[in-house]
Amino acid sequence: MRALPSVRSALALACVIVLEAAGAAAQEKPRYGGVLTWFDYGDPGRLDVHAESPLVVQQATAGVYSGLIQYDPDDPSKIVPDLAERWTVSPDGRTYTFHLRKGVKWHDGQPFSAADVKASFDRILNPDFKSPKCGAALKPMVASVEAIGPSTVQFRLKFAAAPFLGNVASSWCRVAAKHILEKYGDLNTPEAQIGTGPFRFKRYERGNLIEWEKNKDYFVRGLPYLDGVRQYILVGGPTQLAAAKAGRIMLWDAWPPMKRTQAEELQRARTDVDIYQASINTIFLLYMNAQKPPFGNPDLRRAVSLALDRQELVAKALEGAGVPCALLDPKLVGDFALPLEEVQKLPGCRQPKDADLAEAKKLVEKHHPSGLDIEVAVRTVGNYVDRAQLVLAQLRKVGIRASLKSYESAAGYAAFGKGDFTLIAAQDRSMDTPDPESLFSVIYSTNAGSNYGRWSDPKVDELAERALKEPSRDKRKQLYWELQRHIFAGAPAAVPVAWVEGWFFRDRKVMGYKPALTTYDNNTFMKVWLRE
Amino acid sequence: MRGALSGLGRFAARQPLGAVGAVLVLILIATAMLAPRLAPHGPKEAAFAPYLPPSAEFPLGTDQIGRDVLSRVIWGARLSLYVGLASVVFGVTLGWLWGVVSAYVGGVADTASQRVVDALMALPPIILALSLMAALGQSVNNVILALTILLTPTASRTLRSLALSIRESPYVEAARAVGCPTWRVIALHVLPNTFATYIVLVTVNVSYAIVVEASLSFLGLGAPPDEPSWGAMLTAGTQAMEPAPWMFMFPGLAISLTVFGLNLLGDAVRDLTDPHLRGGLG
Amino acid sequence: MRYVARRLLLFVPTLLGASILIFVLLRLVPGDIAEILVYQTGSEASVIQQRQIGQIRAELGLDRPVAVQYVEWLGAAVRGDFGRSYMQQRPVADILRERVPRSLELALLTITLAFLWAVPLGVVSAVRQNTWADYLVRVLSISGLSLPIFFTGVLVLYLLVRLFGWLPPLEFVSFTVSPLENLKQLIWPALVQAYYISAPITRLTRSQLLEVVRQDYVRTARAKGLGERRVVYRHALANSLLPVVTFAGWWGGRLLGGIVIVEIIFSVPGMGSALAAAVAQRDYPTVQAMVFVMALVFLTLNLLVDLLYAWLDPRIKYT
Repeated sequence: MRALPSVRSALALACVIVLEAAGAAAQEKPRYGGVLTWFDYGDPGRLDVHAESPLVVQQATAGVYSGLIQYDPDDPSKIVPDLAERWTVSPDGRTYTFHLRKGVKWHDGQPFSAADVKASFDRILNPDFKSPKCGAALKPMVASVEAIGPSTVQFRLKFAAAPFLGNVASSWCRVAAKHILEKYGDLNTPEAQIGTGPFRFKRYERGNLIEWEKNKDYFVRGLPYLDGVRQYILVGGPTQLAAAKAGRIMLWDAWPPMKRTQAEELQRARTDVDIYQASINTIFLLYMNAQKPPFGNPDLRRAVSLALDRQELVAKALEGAGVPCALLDPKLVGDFALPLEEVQKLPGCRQPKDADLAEAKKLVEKHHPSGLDIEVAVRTVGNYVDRAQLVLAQLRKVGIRASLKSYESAAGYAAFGKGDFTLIAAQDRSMDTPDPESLFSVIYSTNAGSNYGRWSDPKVDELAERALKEPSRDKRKQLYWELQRHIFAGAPAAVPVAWVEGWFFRDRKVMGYKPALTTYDNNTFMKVWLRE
Repeated sequence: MRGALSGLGRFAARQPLGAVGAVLVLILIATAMLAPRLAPHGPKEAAFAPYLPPSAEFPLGTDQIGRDVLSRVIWGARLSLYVGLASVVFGVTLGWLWGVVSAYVGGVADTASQRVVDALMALPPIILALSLMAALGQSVNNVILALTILLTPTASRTLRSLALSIRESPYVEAARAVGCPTWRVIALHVLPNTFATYIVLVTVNVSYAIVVEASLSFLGLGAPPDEPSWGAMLTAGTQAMEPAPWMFMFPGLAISLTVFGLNLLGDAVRDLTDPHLRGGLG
Repeated sequence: MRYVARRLLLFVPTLLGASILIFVLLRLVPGDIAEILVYQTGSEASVIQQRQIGQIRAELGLDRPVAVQYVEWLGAAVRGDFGRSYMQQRPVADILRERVPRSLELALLTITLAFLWAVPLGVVSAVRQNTWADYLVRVLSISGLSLPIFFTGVLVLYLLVRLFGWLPPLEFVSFTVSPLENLKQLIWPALVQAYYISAPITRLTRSQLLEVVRQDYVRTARAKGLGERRVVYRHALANSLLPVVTFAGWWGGRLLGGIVIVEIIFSVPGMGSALAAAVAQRDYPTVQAMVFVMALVFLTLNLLVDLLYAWLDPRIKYT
């Protein structure tokens, strides 16, 4: 990997500087005023935060709304009050009572009350309403939502669910106004963007930009510091990078992250920015179809897992920014993840790969003595095709001859959803919450929506279910460790290649911004201020 | 042999630009045919360090996953030539048959089929190609199919008008007066006389086909992205325009030189064979 | 007169035919909006996903026979109702109203630049035939034709960024808001496009001029003793411009629809880029309406040019 030594050390230095600056800034007094500029990687089109799922929608609307609770802008691993000033849990863990702030007003002047919370969550939890983020997370665990008086809301759960608070704190579970939902039916239009958040929705020029302005009546006195936030809609890496270099955007903490080459270029062009590497809570997976030959046969699935050189993929396709092999990333879920030292010694992951390659070859030969010919699918999005090339070369080493079938994005999703593939070389999946259960409910359980390979292991379902409902944190951790070890020992149809990281930058002027543990959270900028 | 050489010499003298074009086209064909020998590495071999600038070892540098750009450009000649020639030969031949038959059958069938041609031509070509590729799926053969569908209508239109004007000519009138059946008239009189136009259309459209294929790749719906398509290389190069300008420049130059040579040659052929179609170098 | 009537009569079926073609073609493309919306997250259980797909399709009427859908679309379109965009949840007519003026402006700018540049060059080339000036112009033209438009676009972008530190516009400024800013943003894509289409215009001007100069009526004019320049400019140029006008009419039709690739490279939010995005998102109403408008414009321009041609030069016979 070629990188100018001076730039590489500059990047390392930058990481140190960020930490120091963060410490120093904690002493400075926030300054009021200024407009933060950043960008959205696409045009949102539809703005309904309850119904949509792309990050662009979250970015466009985050500062306009508040949730019941939120991830702390100062320390994103903690959950702190938002519209609910405090909450209590019943001893059996099945009833959560949120006590709401009083005197909060919607941006159009109407008063906020528990009825709005009930209306929002009734909508999200409605079985006929498509809510792929908040709805998908909460529907399995929530039985009902009731407004007890004007300032109290109660959630009754189907079982004591440990991830519940984390899910409600997600920025997808925002509270919308009852009267707005009644008036417009949905939240897709700019006119319906009435929230209680630190910013008002000022304007949306399709394909161009989205702008927020300060909410002078925000219920937290003294916030926000900024006069407004402007996001330009910039499609394509070169345009985004050019804007960063020209100083037109102050922040790059979104998807897609910068590539190493772009980060180096930016560092050369601007010395007044901090560049850092961070996780984007996204896992890079390879899928096999467990319902069809050849990968209905677990031996062949194991062969692919043994043959895959995850470290090479991270080095070449992710430019070194990734955590190879892990099913859960310790940086994101803490000690729920198996220690990396254990994971990286497992077959398939250990280096050098000679033993694993030999075994993989034997497995392939046992069932296909003259080698195996397959078609490998990939969507032509991002650098998936480049990753696929590397995977193809690796598979060739064990006697699997693959040809590439590339799909346009939409057609690819349609094919994957229908199980119309043999092997998917690369497909990323972002986690919506920092709780370990999302990985299993979304990818590894039998009925999981992203379980494209339709792999079914009853033990996995059982362990995941128990872990979801286990109230004790220690016991949960044991269950997740058992679950991870079980999956690694088996022949899953979804092989974790790496947790993806990337490079981001922040203008030194931007203070008070801490990236959250998921890409979706902490885009409200409520505590961000600009130095002069 | 001497006669052929002196013939070529005369061609070069009368159409100097055409001769230049012919040389360029010959280089393209030679590169395409000799690709396995000429290219130092395979087109999909991602074995090297990425983003290396041009050097002695990699004269045109390497791309974003460490493939040799020179090898890919050479192999790209083969792909472009294959796609360009196949789609144009199919497209213009189909158009030829369609146009000539339509001209002779005449009547309602002729009017109806020409309306279909009009309707196809009214659609913006890139969108038509894009939708076709999305519907068919990305493969080299589907690119050829999509391009064929794109080229057939215009070819049929041109050849139909030509066929109609031949129909009015004295020879054909005489033949019909004598009682020659239509198919014989077509085979013996019309087809040979449209042959020159056919050749001109082929040479002119090969460059168009190559450019459309590259545009499709640029928009993400061309040949599968791992294939060494010049257009796909151009697209990938735009993503790394500043750190690695060699990634987009060389494939772009390759396309440009190819199209340049084909245009020059096509113009020269047109001037020589069919002065009525002179729109070119005169 | 019969010719005019015939051409007008054929206009409508051709337009309908084009709209039917794209309608059917779109539905042959795998993956519809329902599948996109549901599968792209893949969070919910697969059973729920299937139900949601069915629901969305029923809501949008995609579960009915294609012929029924088309007739309904046509009925609404004729009244000016192009439906609602699936992706943007607002009337397609609004999207058209936003995007068409931008592509229109770019097209006008392109054609103006192309003609200003190409016609005089073609004249020079013809008048000074076979001199160095002629060869220079001919090489310039052929290279203009040969450099694929996206390569020229990327090259120009690269040079602008590298040499001038230019930034692609972050915010598109319309002409009414600030003419200067707007022109600054559109001048580069316009130049790239103009360069591309000026090549055939130059060549065509040149060859037509050469051919017409030898015609009888020019000889007659010369015999009458009119000055050389008057001969060239009044008789020859006027007549030789006819095929050029036809050509421009054809190109104008294409340009007004917006050249997708140029719009994408230079971040111009016009019809072309919106259309490409709509195809990728399977936004049927948007694609249908935009293709309809583009076909309408193209066919209208061609019709006008053909009629103009017939009126100006009655010697031309049409089969």
